[in-house]
Amino acid sequence: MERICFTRRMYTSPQCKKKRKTYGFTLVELIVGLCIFSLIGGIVGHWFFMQRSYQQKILEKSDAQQRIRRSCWKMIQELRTARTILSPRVNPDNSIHSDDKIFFKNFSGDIVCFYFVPKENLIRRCLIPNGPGSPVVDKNPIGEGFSQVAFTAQDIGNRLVGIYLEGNGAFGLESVYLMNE
Amino acid sequence: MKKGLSLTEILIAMSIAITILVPVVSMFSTAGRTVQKSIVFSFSTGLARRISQHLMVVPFDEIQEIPLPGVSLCNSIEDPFFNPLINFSTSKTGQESITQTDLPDFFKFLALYDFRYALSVSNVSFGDGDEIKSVAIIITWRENGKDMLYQTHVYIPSM
Repeated sequence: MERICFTRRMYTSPQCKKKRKTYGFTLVELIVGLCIFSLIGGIVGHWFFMQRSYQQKILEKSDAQQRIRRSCWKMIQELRTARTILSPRVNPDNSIHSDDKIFFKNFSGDIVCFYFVPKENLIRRCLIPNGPGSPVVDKNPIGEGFSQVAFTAQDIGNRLVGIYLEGNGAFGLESVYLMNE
Repeated sequence: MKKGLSLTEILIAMSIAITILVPVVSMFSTAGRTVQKSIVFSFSTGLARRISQHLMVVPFDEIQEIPLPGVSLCNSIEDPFFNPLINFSTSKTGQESITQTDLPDFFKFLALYDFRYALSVSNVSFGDGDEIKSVAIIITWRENGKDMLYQTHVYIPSM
């Protein structure tokens, strides 16, 4: 019959001593084990957490780069076939001139404007029709998540527009040459 | 019977754990590197496109060869394609170039990868005075200690 040890005397008896050595862990072993486990767990957990935040950060940057590309593409498509740039134009001393909005006339005679809204960090498009009618702002923005936008008149003939976009650690540096100016 | 684990068992368990953990760890870093590479590559294609557009307004005779290792985008106060970059004032005094002082964040990004551009120009003559310049636009940068390159071609007629 198995003997159960309740008291200190019973517990330290030869039978119980043997049993204690064979089964289970001492408190010290448990503490040491837990310490090692929590140390390794902490290191691994911290590493995973760091990796997760790094992945998140890098994905956000990738999204920002993609937004920059998409926005540039939309604006370039329309700017390329513009008739003339109304603003910004090069300075009187022939130096480049930048603005956070650009006005140009298309071949239908309409005036199109791309403008940066700093409070909402987005670029919107507005169309001022040639003839009767009020300006129409597109419901969907050209792009969002930008912290800085600059449209720059680059050459004396105002045929070249530089676009600089910045947002969420990503940058876009493009230019468009007006084919029809 | 003695309870516990033998050294062989521990070693086998550790080998299995390492075999599982190593690919998981490398998966994380590989994914991050791939995304970063695509960001940088996407940016470099934009740079090449910018140069190609600028070449349209550069006088034909002034399109010159720029040999490798090329011109750095940072710290060059004046070049025909990138500097000065912006100017929100109405005179030359407000011009800003890609320098630590003017555009620190952008400068940091470009300096980190050491973005440079070079041009390889070849003349093609048609005999009756008409010429075409074949311009190879080369964008180079350094990534994880490796030299990277993106190249595109444009053709500029003399007319």
